[in-house]
Amino acid sequence: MTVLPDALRSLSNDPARLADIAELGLPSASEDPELAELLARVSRRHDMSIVIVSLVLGGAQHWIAQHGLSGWMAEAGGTPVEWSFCTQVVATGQPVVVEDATADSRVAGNPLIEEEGVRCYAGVPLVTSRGHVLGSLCVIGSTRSSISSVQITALEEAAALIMERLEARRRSR
Amino acid sequence: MQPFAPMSDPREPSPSPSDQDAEERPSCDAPLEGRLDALTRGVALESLESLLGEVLGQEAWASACRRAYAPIDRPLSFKVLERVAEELARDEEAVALVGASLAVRVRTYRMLAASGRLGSFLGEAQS
Repeated sequence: MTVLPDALRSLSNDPARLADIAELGLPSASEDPELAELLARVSRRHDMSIVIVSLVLGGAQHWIAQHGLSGWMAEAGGTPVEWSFCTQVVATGQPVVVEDATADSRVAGNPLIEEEGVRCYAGVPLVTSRGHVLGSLCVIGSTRSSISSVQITALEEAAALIMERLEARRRSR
Repeated sequence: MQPFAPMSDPREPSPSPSDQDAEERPSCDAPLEGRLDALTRGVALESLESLLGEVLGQEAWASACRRAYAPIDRPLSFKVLERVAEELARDEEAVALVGASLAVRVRTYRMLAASGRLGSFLGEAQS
């Protein structure tokens, strides 16, 4: 049994998309304190305890920066791709909002809900200058929450800032 | 519920097998299915081959194994596989992506195993 649908697996393994990520490189938050500050601002603005910049790779989502995570997920630096809400963002290229994860069929059975207490999620795509969706900027909360269109717009603006930083990194390499 | 609580007490000793008995102990070369897909040396190698081609993929794998003091063609424990993944992640561009991805998976499996929760994932696969 394969947990991740074949279509999503093909997308996360798309060689052109992965090549684009590879060319951008894998920055870490420690290299970019301004990115860490940006995530802290996003957390405050959205009143969400956790903010993640997630790149969806072939087998896992890899967090290049996060705010508010602790425990094993912080230590692991990501999760297997089968557990990734952000894969939905990569698949659709659109914002994904899960206001109550316990009642949303798109994420049904995801162990992060039952075992780690994830209740709400909003993720917006991180899109390169070449049009590939690398992953998402997402906010996560432990209680059911409504996510407004204004909040999504604000997240998209923050995602654009992040992509500017990543693209600048590509140009300087 | 405390969200994102650690899966295990970090003070507890890890049950990971030692490097020396990697080939004799149950390892991540046994597919784990269900809520997680299989994590095997073969899957990791396949990722490299699909991205780089068969020859370059195998070369990248062999090089990382050498740097990690790991056997190239035998099953690896989580501990050793994590070392190989970290070596891949230090490599350049596409190889680093495979390494980063593999490292996240190995750490997750290792921590699930350490907290005794890996069985629940396997159990659900059979239901």
